[in-house]
Amino acid sequence: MDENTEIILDLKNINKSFGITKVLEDINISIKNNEFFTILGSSGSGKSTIIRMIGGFTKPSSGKIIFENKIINDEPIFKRPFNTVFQDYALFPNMNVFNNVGFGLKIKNIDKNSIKEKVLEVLSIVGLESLSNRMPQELSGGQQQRVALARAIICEPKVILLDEPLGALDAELRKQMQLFLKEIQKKIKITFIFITHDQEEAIFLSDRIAVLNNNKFEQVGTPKELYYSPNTPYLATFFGECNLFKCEVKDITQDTALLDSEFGNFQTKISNNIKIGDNVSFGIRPEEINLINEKIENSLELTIDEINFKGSVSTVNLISEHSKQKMKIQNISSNVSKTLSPGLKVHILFNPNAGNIFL
Amino acid sequence: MKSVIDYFSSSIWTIISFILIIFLILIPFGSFLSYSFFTVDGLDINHEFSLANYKEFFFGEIYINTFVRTIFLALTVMSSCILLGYPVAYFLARYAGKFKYAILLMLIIPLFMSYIIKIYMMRSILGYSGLINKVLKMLNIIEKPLEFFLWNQNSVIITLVIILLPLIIIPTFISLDKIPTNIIEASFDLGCKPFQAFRYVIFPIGFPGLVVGSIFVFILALGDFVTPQLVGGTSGFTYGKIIYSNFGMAFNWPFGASLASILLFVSVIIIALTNYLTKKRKS
Amino acid sequence: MTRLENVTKYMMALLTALIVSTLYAPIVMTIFFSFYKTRKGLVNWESFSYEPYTKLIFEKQILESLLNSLYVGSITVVCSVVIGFYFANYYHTSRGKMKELLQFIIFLPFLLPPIITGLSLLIFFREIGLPRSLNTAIIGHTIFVLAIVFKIILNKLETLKSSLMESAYDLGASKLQAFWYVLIPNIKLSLIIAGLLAFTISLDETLITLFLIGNDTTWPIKLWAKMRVGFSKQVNASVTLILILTSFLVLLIATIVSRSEKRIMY
Repeated sequence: MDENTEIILDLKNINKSFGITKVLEDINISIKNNEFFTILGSSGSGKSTIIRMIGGFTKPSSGKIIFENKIINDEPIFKRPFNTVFQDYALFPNMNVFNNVGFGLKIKNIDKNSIKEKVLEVLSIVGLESLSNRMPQELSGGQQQRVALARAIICEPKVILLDEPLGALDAELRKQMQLFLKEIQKKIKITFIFITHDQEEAIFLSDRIAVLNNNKFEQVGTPKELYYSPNTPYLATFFGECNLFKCEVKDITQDTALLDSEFGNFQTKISNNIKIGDNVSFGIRPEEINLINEKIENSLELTIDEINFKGSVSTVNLISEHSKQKMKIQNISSNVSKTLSPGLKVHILFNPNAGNIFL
Repeated sequence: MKSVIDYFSSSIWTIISFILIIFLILIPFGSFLSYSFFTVDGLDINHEFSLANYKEFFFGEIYINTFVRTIFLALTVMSSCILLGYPVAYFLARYAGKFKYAILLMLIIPLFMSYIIKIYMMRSILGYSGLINKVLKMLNIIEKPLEFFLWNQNSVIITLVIILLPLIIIPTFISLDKIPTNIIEASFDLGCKPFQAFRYVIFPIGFPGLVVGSIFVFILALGDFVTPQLVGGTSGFTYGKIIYSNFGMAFNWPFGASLASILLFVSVIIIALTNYLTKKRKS
Repeated sequence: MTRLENVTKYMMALLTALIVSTLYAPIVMTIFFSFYKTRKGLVNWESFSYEPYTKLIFEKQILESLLNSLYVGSITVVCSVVIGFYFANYYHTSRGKMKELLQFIIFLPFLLPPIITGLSLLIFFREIGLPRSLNTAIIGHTIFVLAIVFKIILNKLETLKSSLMESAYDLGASKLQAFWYVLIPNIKLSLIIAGLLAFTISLDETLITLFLIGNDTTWPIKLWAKMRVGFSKQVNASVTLILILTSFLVLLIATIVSRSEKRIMY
């Protein structure tokens, strides 16, 4: 039995309102054991609320939280086998690092020697063995964060909840900590539920991502699924860049569709239930478009609008003759782009099976 | 099991504490108010409802007169405190620089000196052969010592002002101290003359503290009964003194309670009014 | 600065100096009269002596009243801090209108003229048959200072990050454990300040105590009684000592406050 596909936490039909303000609507997710699951959304979108409901700090207005086949809506915070890493770390200012980390065990009346052993063990996992006597105020942001993590790990919870833990760190430190978190999670094999508003971070760290938009989950999937097969135009432009333009469905065969756009006609794989005559949007990412030398089947002809030099690679902005609709290509080797200039007409070809049709 | 105990104990404590508060504050207030409707029968309290006490208050002239006199006394004390205290608070907040907290501390300490002794010492200061008269005589401003200062209403006023001044200076200072200097500079930058800056910027921001202090001083002055006993002589007496005497030798507690409830009523109105006006100002 | 501003500035400085000296006049005179005797307004400069201070221990009545005051003060501190803490915590953690009502009730004895608080309790105790004593005075002091203690602790509670207690629960602590290991240590300072303040206020509390004390005396009541007879040097000496004690307490509070603000709260 592959324990990686086993579901340990289920949120079913969760709704949450604060007074008359609805914050979360019909939230459904199943979180698998040992996965790094990220909830991604902009500030104020309600993602913290989800984690707080899982942790027990607030209750859903309706819906069920199911853990190991039991509904745990009414379980008090300290009974739930989850631990939280708070956004502001929440280290106890009246205790040093050792006591902070050991707190969870002390509460359970575990004997001093075992506590000492475990604390040192966990501190070495996060790389802070030498700092056990320091007070939280004396630590840097990154160190405090690691202590907070150690404090959560030591209790061996089934799930660790992380509420935008990297938000307060500068860019450099943030990248280091991202790597660190990813490695740790794989090492200690505990399910992580991670909250962030940073898409790059989410893509880098997660096994699966749930994107929160307008109080609902827009889509849940692996980073690649979300990147290459977004369900909606919103998601298409959410991760990275995406060229979106309107098309009309001219013809449909078994697995391809012929679309008519202001750039011309082209064939692409079918996604979504489309019929002939539908007005749809087509999205394709800048790195999925190629410059070719001459017109071939399925290629389109556009005029160069702008070339942006970015070092070894450049991006090229193209424009359609009649409608002034733009398209962007990137990862063009500068060797090639230096032979081009604005106003020149070029041919482009979409990668096979790239792009998505949206209704 | 832990959680059951927690839940249970927390609501037990809530109930206990609310009972405590009700018992120690609300019920005594209630019994005090109800006492005002009782009467005395020799050494016993007649627990029957009667408006006799209030009739006595309103129709027996002396009580209303004293009450009104005491209100004016309290107003005088309050105004003097404002006049003397506001500049001090202002000075501390704006000009005293690094000394301001030290001076503030110096103003706080006298508050903790024995209340009774402070008043008693005023005798030696205000009296016939007291400090003020001695100084005035030394400076040749007067020839004979003045009787102006002691054993009358004036001495009550002066003494109360000295006792209560810090109570108005401290909250006013706290309010004024909150004004960051760059706001004042900004107003100058926008073309304000110093007086305008004061009127439109500084004073409004410092106003809440001033109000808090003033009301506090007023209420304390209104209800004080020790000062007149010690320095008021025969002509300086306050409403508080009358109330107190009903609990002493006169042993007419219900009557005293009714007098006090008038005081309570007026105090509550003043506090509520101030609250309302400050809230209105904020909007 | 304009000349007018300069002038006003100096006038205000002068006024401040004047007022501070006036406020200290009674204090200075008390200390003075603990060392010297006067007769009919003339100072007897030869009468200087330390005796009042050294002989103080033998003045049984004064000593007794001082001890009573210390007793009342200490119990008042314990009661008011415990009750005040409980209510502050309740106010801080509850939603709804009840807490506003509670705060209003707590503030009543402090905002209204003390004579009214004293009266109410006096009448109440009589009706329930509780004789006046030091202990009834303790009750009076407690509800009087409760408002201040409550406010001080509440202010501190509201500046604590809510995530602190949440993380304690998150790590498995029960309410009691979270209180003891996390909450109390972090509000320790404000508890101390509130306690010191309550003690200092209780030491000198006169108006309410006059109503609630039976045959025992506390320090201010003793002074009240002595006042009819006139004050001996010894009384002045004891006043001076108490003054030194309370000044010390006030300075202590001030130091604690300024030090805690200097500490970088992370």
